[in-house]
Amino acid sequence: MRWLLLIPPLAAAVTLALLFGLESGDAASAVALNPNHECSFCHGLHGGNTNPLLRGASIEATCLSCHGPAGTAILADVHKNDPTGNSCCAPFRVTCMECHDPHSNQTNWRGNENLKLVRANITGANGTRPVVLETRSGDFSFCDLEGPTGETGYPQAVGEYDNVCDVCHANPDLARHHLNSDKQHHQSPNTCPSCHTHDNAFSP
Amino acid sequence: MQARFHKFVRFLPAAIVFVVLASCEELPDAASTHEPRGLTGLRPDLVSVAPGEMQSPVRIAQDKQGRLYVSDYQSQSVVMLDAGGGGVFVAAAFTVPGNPLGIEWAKGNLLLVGNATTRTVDVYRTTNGKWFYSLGGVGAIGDPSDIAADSDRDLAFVVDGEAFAVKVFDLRNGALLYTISGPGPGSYYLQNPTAIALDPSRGEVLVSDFGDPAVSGSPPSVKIYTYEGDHVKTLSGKSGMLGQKFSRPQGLAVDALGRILLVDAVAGEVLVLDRQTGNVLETYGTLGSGPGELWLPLDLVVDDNQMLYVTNNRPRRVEVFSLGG
Ligand code: HEC
Ligand code: HEC
Ligand code: HEC
Ligand code: HEC
Ligand code: HEC
Repeated sequence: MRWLLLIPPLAAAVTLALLFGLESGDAASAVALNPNHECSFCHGLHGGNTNPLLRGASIEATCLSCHGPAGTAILADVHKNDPTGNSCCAPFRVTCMECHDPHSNQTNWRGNENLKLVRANITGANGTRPVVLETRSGDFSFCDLEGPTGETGYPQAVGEYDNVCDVCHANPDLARHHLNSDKQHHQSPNTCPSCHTHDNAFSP
Repeated sequence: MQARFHKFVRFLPAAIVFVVLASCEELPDAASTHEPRGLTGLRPDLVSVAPGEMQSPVRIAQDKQGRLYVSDYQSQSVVMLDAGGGGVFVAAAFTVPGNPLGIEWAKGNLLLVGNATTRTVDVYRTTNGKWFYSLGGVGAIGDPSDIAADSDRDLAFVVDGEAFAVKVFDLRNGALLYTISGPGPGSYYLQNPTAIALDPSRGEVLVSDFGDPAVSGSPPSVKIYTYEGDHVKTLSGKSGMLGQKFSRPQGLAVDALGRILLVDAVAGEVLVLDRQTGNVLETYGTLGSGPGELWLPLDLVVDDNQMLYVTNNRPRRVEVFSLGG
């Protein structure tokens, strides 16, 4: 009996959930789950089956086995230098788990759920910052110039830099609505990923 | 677990011969040490991938001369690689209008390229990278994930992930002849097909299938059909109640001994399966980003010299193993 105590409660929960085929909603599941995913999508896969927990490189491989090229779900890639070779910057790489929590749409500081499994806090060069990704007037809160009640020019969450991209790109010229930017395309009302697409590593 | 691990360790040292085509920052660039043999007559403006710079290698094919062709999803190019002289290096590349997936060589110097953006299978000439014709025309294939051709019988088999089926075309005129499977229940039908290989000696089509991860009765598998589309057998990725042989089957091939070689994209290994029993005979590679390690491997080819070439997506390389050792 004592060995049971050695298993962290979460690990025990996933082991149980996987052993008995329990899915979200079952009492044994430790976490809320996005309806698009089931525990078995990511846990108990071959290669990781000696250990129900996912670690390191196998996490990205797990996500991309479905969300990568020749996968079976909607495409996404890590955030990295522009693959066409026109990168602005030194080599960098932001992987899935840095922006997403595969277990739930986390509750953000406004008390609402973030969309698309995006974390409530993201850590980058500017430290750990809160993130808000909600539907706002039918649009995500990326660089929308519209306030909660429809006013235009609304600087969303003043001083918070809490859009998914802002948290790392806290550069007013670039990331924050680009109102004073010489980069004219950044003054558009489009969301950042509409131009910087996810399957192209968020490159322009 | 223990038994499997032993088997793995036993075969691994003999397996890794060399690793080449380093294109990520941390590894030396093997390509630069070779003088590219280059295709003659290739227009410079068709070349978008500099030697050693694959972005997202997906599928791989080989012609009769041993030249390798890789679809590079993100750079929207077909990369041609020469193997020899102790390495593999980029000889040339040409761009395609969109993100390429499936790739296959066919007699007459034809290269069949599945394009996920234009949703077509386009036939190019390997001699100049020029478009020749398209299989079935626009809209014939929603998601051309992989392609296999039987040049002797003038047949091209295309996995259409969107139609959950394999579509068979006449190579001579690009006409759609018939469709294998389509969505359906049980182990006979294709659920989420990803990759394809042919066994011309038996007249069989082998298809990797993710199964339906949301349905417990639809495990990942390799499904085997006759050329005509009759189901022959299904090799399940499950073993016993809880065990698994593979979970995300991608590219596959049949070797000279009739064994099935299969990559598991998540586990980062190449499995050698007994065609009759589905038992794992050997494995090559292990999960990781270093030399000989696989991180999201997506496809493989095996040549007459028992050399195994694996597209290693995340490290952006082609990994080379020697079968048997
Ligand atoms: C989309 C993929 C995905 C799905 C679906 C998923 N998980 Fe996870 N899970 C992960 C990853 C990745 C980790 C590793 C987390 C880390 O390293 O921070 C993890 C870790 C865990 C852990 C251990 C936490 C730790 O300490 O490492 C438990 C317990 C767990 N998951 C339970 C579940 C249960 C129960 C379900 C179904 C309700 C589920 N997971 C569904 C990806 C997933
Ligand atoms: C077994 C396949 C599979 C795996 C593995 C998988 N996903 Fe998904 N994921 C899906 C499917 C299916 C959807 C629904 C959208 C679609 O059809 O593509 C989805 C949707 C999503 C969404 C959108 C959710 C929403 O609210 O709309 C996110 C974000 C996501 N996945 C992230 C991840 C991450 C991160 C991982 C790895 C930790 C992962 N997925 C692993 C199949 C998978
Ligand atoms: C820099 C942060 C970041 C990283 C890194 C990241 N994502 Fe995302 N992801 C997002 C954001 C923001 C969205 C919402 C985008 C939108 O809706 O336009 C999103 C959306 C998605 C979706 C849903 C797409 C859709 O159209 O519904 C999937 C699936 C997904 N991500 C998977 C992944 C996977 C897999 C990885 C790792 C390979 C990953 N993400 C890495 C920020 C990130
Ligand atoms: C976790 C931190 C982080 C997040 C979140 C993030 N980025 Fe980045 N991004 C970086 C880093 C680091 C660089 C490298 C340049 C630098 O250091 O500023 C970068 C560079 C870029 C570049 C230039 C790429 C190139 O090669 O030229 C673009 C474009 C970009 N990011 C867009 C986005 C978009 C759009 C989002 C939101 C979906 C986003 N980023 C979210 C960290 C992040
Ligand atoms: C209308 C399309 C469009 C939208 C919307 C857009 N971008 Fe850009 N972005 C581009 C293009 C094109 C470039 C590259 C050319 C340039 O730098 O002017 C770029 C460049 C960048 C760069 C790299 C700058 C550099 O130093 O080279 C970053 C970072 C970036 N964008 C972030 C964002 C963020 C964050 C958002 C949302 C707040 C966003 N972009 C919205 C089109 C767009």
